[in-house]
Amino acid sequence: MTSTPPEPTDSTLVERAVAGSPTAERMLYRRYAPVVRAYCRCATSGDDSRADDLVQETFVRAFRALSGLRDGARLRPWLYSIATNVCRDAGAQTAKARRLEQALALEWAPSPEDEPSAREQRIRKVAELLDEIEDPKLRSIVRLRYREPEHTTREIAQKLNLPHGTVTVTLMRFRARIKADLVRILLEEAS
Amino acid sequence: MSTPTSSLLHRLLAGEALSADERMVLAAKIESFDDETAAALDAVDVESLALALGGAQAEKADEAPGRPHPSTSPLTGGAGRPVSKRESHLTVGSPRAWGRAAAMGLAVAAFVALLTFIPRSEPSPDGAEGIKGPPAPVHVRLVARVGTRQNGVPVAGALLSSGAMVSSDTAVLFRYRLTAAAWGYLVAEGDGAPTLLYSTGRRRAGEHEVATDGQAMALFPVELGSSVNIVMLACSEPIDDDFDWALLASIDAPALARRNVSCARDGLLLRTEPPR
Repeated sequence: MTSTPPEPTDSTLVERAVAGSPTAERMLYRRYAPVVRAYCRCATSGDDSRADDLVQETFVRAFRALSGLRDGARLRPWLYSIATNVCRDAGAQTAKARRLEQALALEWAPSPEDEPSAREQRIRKVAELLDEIEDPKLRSIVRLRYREPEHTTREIAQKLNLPHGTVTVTLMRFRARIKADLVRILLEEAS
Repeated sequence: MSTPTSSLLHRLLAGEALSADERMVLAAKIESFDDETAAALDAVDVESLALALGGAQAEKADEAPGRPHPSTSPLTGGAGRPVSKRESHLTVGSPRAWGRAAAMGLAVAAFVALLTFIPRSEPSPDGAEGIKGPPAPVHVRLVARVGTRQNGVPVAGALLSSGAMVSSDTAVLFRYRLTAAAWGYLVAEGDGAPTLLYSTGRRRAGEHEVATDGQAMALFPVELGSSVNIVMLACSEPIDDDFDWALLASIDAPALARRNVSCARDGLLLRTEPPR
């Protein structure tokens, strides 16, 4: 039986790319271009040529600034924050892309190693989500979980005097609601 | 554990066309938002969702007014709906057939077989040789579909969005749309260096099939690796024969720029399941 070597991590590729390896740049591009392009297509309402320009601009900016990335493992949220900024600067913004940004923002726990742009982006997206929440209990749970300093679900349960299960289920349903909006769009587009 | 809802979600995100009934079931489950549905939704990977949304939207855009109208029997139809294709134009070989080609001394079955069958500068069968005038800015759109046979009848099956997972025996057919006349180059990058799969002479604006001698070309991505990036280039000028295609994946394509060749590009990533 043959086994394939493991794919290099983002950190490894970032390190190599910063050292000038075009292969590493190519691998990073290949790894992330599809999802960045998908996001840009959402942001441009399916204008493919415009989306491709935005993808290109995203990677040009990213590769230029790559040496300043403090932690290669945090490449993913950083890259998405660049894509979001590139699309916003180009006036490419749709409700769907905004929902997608919000869903993406909840995917990664904040890290002290995050670049300021990625961190600010996440804070902005969480704030948008908090603005949508009317239920005070849900609002408190989401704020504690996703706003800095981030709390664990156990800490939230303790702080709000709630059963731990209530906190985890509430957060699960909250994230699921956001994804449900996106799946609804997908279903509408598929019909 | 896979539930009916998670199974439907998985298929939807994989770019598979759900039937109208299945879409209704899924929509109803999402509206009900019961615990099972919420858990299934929470388990959805956001990047998969992004890929599906980007792909689905691209498909919508293909059908929007103002896009180049398909010039031949189209692969475009309702989302995921198999559309009959001219039978004589479908060459969906089996992986074994490509294997035979490999056994004949070709290093890597899928794309080497394509290169063997397709001349690098294919004469324009649609009469594009006579196109004159300065080059117009061009945009290209690459469309990939699963090539299948249903009851013995060849059809272009489900649309493949970028990031789609295809099985080891899946053949993929390609079409591309040009907004202006251009030279076309289809390049794949799998586990090895980027390789030119196919090139054409100057083609008119419109929709074209990746085909030679009236035969649609089928690619088996598994032969190229577990993750294959396919890029269609539409160039204002022909690219020299000695061009190093391995440079293409570079984002700003400096090698092309230095040659004063302006190329639009569109691409997609196909992931393959390992052969059983």
